[in-house]
Amino acid sequence: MKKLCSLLAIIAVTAGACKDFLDVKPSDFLSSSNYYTTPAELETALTGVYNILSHSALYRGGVVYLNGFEGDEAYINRSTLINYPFTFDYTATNPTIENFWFACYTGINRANTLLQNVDKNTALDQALRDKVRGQALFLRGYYLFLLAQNFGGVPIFVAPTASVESTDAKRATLKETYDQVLADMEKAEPLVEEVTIAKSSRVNKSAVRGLLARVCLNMAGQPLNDQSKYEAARKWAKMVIDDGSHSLNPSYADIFIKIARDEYDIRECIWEAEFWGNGMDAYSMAGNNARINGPASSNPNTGTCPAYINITGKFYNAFEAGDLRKPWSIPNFKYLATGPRGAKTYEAPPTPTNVYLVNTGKYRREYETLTPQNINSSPQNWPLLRFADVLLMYAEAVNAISGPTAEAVGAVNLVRRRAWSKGIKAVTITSGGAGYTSAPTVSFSAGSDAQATAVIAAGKVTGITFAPDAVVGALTGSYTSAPAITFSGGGGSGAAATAAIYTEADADVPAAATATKESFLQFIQQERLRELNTEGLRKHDLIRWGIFVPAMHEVANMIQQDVGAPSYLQRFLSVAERHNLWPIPAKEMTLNRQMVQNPGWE
Amino acid sequence: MITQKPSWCIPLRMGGVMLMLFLLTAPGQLWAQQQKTVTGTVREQPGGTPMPGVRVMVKGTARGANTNEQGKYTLSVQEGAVLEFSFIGYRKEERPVAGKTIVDVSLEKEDVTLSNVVVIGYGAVKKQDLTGSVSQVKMKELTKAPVASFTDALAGRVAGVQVSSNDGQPGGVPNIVIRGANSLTQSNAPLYVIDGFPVENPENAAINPEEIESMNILKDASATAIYGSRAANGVVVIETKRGKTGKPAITFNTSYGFQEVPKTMEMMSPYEFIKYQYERRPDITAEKYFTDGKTLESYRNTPAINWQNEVLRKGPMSISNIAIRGGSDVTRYAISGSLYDQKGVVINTDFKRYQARFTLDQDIGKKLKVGLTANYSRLKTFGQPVASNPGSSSISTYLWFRVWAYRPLSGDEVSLTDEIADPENITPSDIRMNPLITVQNDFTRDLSTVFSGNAYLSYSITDNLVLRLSGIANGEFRKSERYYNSKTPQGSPLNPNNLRGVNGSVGNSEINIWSSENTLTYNKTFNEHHSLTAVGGFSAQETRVATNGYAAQNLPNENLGISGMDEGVPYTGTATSEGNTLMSFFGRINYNYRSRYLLTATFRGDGSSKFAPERRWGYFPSAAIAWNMQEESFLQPLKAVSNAKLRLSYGITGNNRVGNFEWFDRLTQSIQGYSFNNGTPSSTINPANIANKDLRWERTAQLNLGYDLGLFRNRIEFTVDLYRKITNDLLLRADLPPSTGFGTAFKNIGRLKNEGIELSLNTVNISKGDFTWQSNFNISFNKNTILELTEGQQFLQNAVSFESQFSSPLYLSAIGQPAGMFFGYLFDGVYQYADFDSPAPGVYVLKKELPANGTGRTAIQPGDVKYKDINGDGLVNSLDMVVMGRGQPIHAGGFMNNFSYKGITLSAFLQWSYGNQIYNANRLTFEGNSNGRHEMNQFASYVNRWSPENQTNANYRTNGHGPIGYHSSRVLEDGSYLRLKTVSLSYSLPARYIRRLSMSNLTFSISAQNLLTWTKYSGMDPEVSARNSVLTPGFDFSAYPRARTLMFGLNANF
Repeated sequence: MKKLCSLLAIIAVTAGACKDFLDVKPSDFLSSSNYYTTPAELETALTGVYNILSHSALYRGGVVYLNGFEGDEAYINRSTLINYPFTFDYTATNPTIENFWFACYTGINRANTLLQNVDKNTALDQALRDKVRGQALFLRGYYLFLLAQNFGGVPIFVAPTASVESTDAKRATLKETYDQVLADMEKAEPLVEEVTIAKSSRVNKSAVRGLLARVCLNMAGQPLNDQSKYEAARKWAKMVIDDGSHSLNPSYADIFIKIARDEYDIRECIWEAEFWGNGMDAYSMAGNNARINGPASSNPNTGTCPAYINITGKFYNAFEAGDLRKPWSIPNFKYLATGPRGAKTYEAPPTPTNVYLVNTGKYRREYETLTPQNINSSPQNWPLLRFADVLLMYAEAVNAISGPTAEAVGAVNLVRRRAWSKGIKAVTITSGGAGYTSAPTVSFSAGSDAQATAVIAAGKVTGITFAPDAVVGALTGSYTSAPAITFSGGGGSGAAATAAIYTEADADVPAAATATKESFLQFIQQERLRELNTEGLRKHDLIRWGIFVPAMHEVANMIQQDVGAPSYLQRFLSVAERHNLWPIPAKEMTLNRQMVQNPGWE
Repeated sequence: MITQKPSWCIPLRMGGVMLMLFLLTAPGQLWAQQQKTVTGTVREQPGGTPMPGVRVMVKGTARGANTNEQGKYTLSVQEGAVLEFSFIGYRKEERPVAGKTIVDVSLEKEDVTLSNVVVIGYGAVKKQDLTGSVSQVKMKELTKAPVASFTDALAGRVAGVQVSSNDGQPGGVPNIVIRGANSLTQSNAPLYVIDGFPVENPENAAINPEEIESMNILKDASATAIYGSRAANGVVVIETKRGKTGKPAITFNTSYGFQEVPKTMEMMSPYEFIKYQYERRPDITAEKYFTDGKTLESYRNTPAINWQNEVLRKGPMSISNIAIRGGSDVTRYAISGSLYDQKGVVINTDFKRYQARFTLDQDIGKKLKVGLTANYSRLKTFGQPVASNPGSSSISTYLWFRVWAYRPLSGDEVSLTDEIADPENITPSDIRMNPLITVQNDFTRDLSTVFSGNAYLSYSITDNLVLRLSGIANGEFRKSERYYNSKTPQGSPLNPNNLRGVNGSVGNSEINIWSSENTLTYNKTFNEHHSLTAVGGFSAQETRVATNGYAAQNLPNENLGISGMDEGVPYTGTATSEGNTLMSFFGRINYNYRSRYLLTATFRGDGSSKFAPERRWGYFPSAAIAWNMQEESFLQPLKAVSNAKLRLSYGITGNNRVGNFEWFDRLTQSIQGYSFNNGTPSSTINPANIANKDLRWERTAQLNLGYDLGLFRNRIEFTVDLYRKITNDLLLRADLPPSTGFGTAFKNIGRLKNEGIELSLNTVNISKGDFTWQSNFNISFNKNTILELTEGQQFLQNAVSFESQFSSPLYLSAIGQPAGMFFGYLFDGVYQYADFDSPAPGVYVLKKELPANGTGRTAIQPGDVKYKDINGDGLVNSLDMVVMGRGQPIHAGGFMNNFSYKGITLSAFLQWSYGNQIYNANRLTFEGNSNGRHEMNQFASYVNRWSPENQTNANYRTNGHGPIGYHSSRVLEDGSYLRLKTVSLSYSLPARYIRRLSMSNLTFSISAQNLLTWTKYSGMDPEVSARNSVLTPGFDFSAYPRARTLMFGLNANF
């Protein structure tokens, strides 16, 4: 019995130690209770909030895939990609939609976690904490804005998710949702850095202001229709314009060449979603811009792109002669499968039927500087806010408030003049000459910018053809006054011609467009297509103008006229009112018992 | 007191010592009057070898003697006495003296698995006194299967135990599920108790099946609840062989044989291949194959390269075991070693195991016993895991994809067998490299070294009270090495996705477990008829896991192999460490009255570090009653009934198989943060989960009703068990509303039910003279039903990964249904001419009233695939997906027959699975080329496809695959099978021939595994589940073909 007693005693002592024995301390991760105390820790946590921008459901993939695919300017040419909403044959179970929803809320929760802890160590410099706070607030607002645009009023969270149990959340109204977006962004505005300090990857004051303008325009438009927000939109856009840090890049093409080269141009590109590297190291931070949505290329020297997006006839026809945005956005060439970087052949302008087979061309891998290029990713950033957009938003807001004022028209003209060719607009053969056996050499005075070959018929020069170019469409040069044209060689003589060049007046908004508020709005709507195509803005522009469904059906009509009934017709025909919003993802509907589905998706 | 030194040759002196012991321990006996001397010899049966050290007792007294070296004994007995002869491991015999002076006896070896004592948790009970549902595995039969691990041979052996292996990959680990899956997202593996130590995930392949003395499977809560905390999935109790008193017995067995693939897929001939290619792409095909005046007919008799034969081989296999076991009364020992060497049927894949073991048991005095066991195993698995695509996102890294897809002819002078790749057919999604060369160059090596040592001390405090203390230390070191040279898809410069050049990686992990199990056992019979056994105990266990590793790219010196990794550029590193602890108190009371009315009650309390302090402890009670009816007088007239027992049990068991720190609020750091200002990306830290301090033990309540019937002295033994298990507080990786910002969280939510019936029948059909025929039949039905999921959720959907276009969920697990049902479109044959209007010759417009197949109506042509439009809306879209079939069998079982005649034994074991389906995803690609890949060979079955001349419904026309990525019933097949799993024929030489070789046994044997299979399944093997989990069963894609094995063996005992 004695032995038994001592045994029991041993067990009792051991049991007493069990409390400690069962307390296993984690050795491989941190807990929020012991973090967020140093500047580096705050910065690391803030990086996580930014990280969502490069999420595959956002600008790494999903949105790159979606931009244009869901608007009237372009469509996806793949019949095999069935998991994307651009076919307009989707349901609430669509994984792309769910991932988008999830990514935005992940970003919101990360921001909330950081915001809850940012003041944990009050010994840290207040200014430093405010800078972190400002960016986190803005990004939280931005992710909520993306949700509001795509889903309408959604649940609003301003504190981190704390419990696995009470996860039901009610939808806020669209107004409440937008009010929260505004509140976050307005609170962020004084806190974030000035433009002069930051590069385009970090949120700066202009980014916040420009986005506030975009948010306000969305609030002023459909479906919220809060007209009072035009004034706020005007105010925020004006602040960006007046800041002095921004101006348009003189070359439209150069904006995107700089993006391809990973160069910043904060004057034009105010905020970008950042991608980096080629996946040949430990990082996988490369994206898909230009890898999915550029001109087709299978040449590894150029950089490969399977080219998932084709343009629509509506987009092709939106441009006037002299608008250099067209040759840049709609390539007149095809990349060769072999050969040096950028090797290409030029194509004749497509027939109306073939227009729908042309890829979009704004993002081009041939300009990338990082080598070797990954065939499955690219380092190209995604432009989130450009100064041209701010100018157009400004014009739109002013027009809504006080009609097509000079200020409003001026802003649009700024955008158009930058885009316009300064080259030869037209050539008149004043004399065909005689005796030409071969095409004479054509030369232009005042520089050698333009390049052309003569066309001869029956010994006479009958016209000239400018050399094709991948950036400006044709090498018509750049002049301040019309150059003289001379013909030499070719065995003949006497040919003469005069040239006319494009002027600012050609670029400027035509008088008819500025006649009324309505006509100017319509003009701006087209101008935004020309300027901001395939930058992921089109669908929501159409929605806020209340013309998404008619615009898509307009394309369907054009396809029927131009082509007939190709497989992609259905996606334009299918667009209905309910497509103004995506359905709330089925997973959210199932697991959140307070969630209510969007109209038409029940 | 007599003290003794351990000695290896104790038997020589044993007789005397035993007698002395006897005299010391049994004083004061009265010596009766009419004494006479009886002598005799005890011999072993069969063989007739004299047995020393056999205990000979006078029944009813404490008097007795031991046999000497010649097996002889001498005893003084009373007239009318009965002698009892016993020796460990042999069946006890009784002989009445009845006037004789010489009583010779033969002792028969006792088959351990048929023994009357069943090892259960923390003790053993007589089979007759069992109250729970415990199945004993017939190890003698099981070890006839020439396999690496006992788990490979367990399928069909025991009712209620489902063994599903993914495929036939050497070194692959089968999954054992007892009585249906309790958990949806977590492991359903049973708890293993090896030599008394519970282990959750043992390296089962490290245990040599030859070393297993007994294996019992505890199924109901009464049996398992003593391991309460982790026993919800059932318990497998394994006792390994230890030394036995007696002269050193040497066992040596070796077998050698080979494996081959019973079935390969029939592929298209060159003629059919080109015909198909021409239909797909006339221009390209003509350009390539119809040059120099050649036409399709020119290829009628072109020989094909059979790529399957190129990568398959007859894989040699050898198994050798040697053991020396023996000991004296006080010291017993066993030393053993084994070698298992298997070359897989796919070249460059193999599995090897070296294993050594030592056990020692020592009695110190009468009351104290100590012992130790040490085991060392080294496992080496080599070769690409055939059913996965390591190191690349390309489908071509799947071995069978490469093999089947590769062209059967080149069409020109190019020698396809010599060329490293089919360069014209390399795209980012299809790295078509030479199947043979790539397999030859694959370097995938996993090494695992397991060292385990345990020791015990058992002390009899009183005659009725025994204290047992024991401890174990188990260390497992795993190393995985991957090396991809330029001739592998992952390392080749031809792979456009490969930016890492020649690359490799190493990973190390170290798992250390120590555990201590301590019990106090009280055993007493009161008033003759009340028998009580009580066990109380305490245990503690700690597990630590640490891993590290790195990967390197652009290795400059390819010929250095994996050792050239240091010369490359490292690109990723891992390092983790974690651990958990468990502490438990437990107790059990077994009571019976005259072995007639039996009662068992158990209770266990477990504390786990995996839960927050407030939720740490879980308590698991169980109770069982049993009634041995044959003892009742009303059954006495039924002479045939030798055993009739009714059992009823109920209890609650638990499960804590979640991550070690799931309840914590965790932040995860990652280098994949965000690049600011074109800088190297900054690191990020993010919340990884939502803390859940409420996380607690999962609890399974199980009710079991069993009946055992033995007839004709148990020549017929029948057992039936009915059970119902309801799992509550399911530890579910539950989906969260995505608006929380988290995808999943571990929650105790959901309920699951498993109910079933298990029948087993053991019969001795014939036992006449030297001939016996024994059968064993078992069948089990389990029905699994999901009762509840996380809040509001009606179903779980799960996808399997193989082809990226087929990433939509294939499985549905819905409330009210079993887990893992196949979900997709119903295949409705092929559109025929009658389905179209033909406004002009050759123009076919699908009739308005007929649904399109998911692609645009205008594109649909006769011969295209057709799916059922379930909701009748004229469209085939995601609303038309339905449950197409089940992944779990309706019933499964085994049927074993054993014939023996003199020294010849023939045993045949059949195993089956019925009612489950298999999704043959290979056919998606190889029967219709659903992804439209160029110059890809197809299964010969696709020759029978729709064409104007062959208007079949079996397969759609060339290019008629419709929308890509639709899972449909077209490739869902009946997965039922009946398999002649193990056949073994052996011949033991008669004792008289081998005695002069000092042998006690010499047996030659031939054994075969997977000899014959009857199935309707069109794939290589119906025993397949390439993405095996409860939620994703029965999926076949590029599975390693299961081999048929034929082994020739020799077994010698000295």
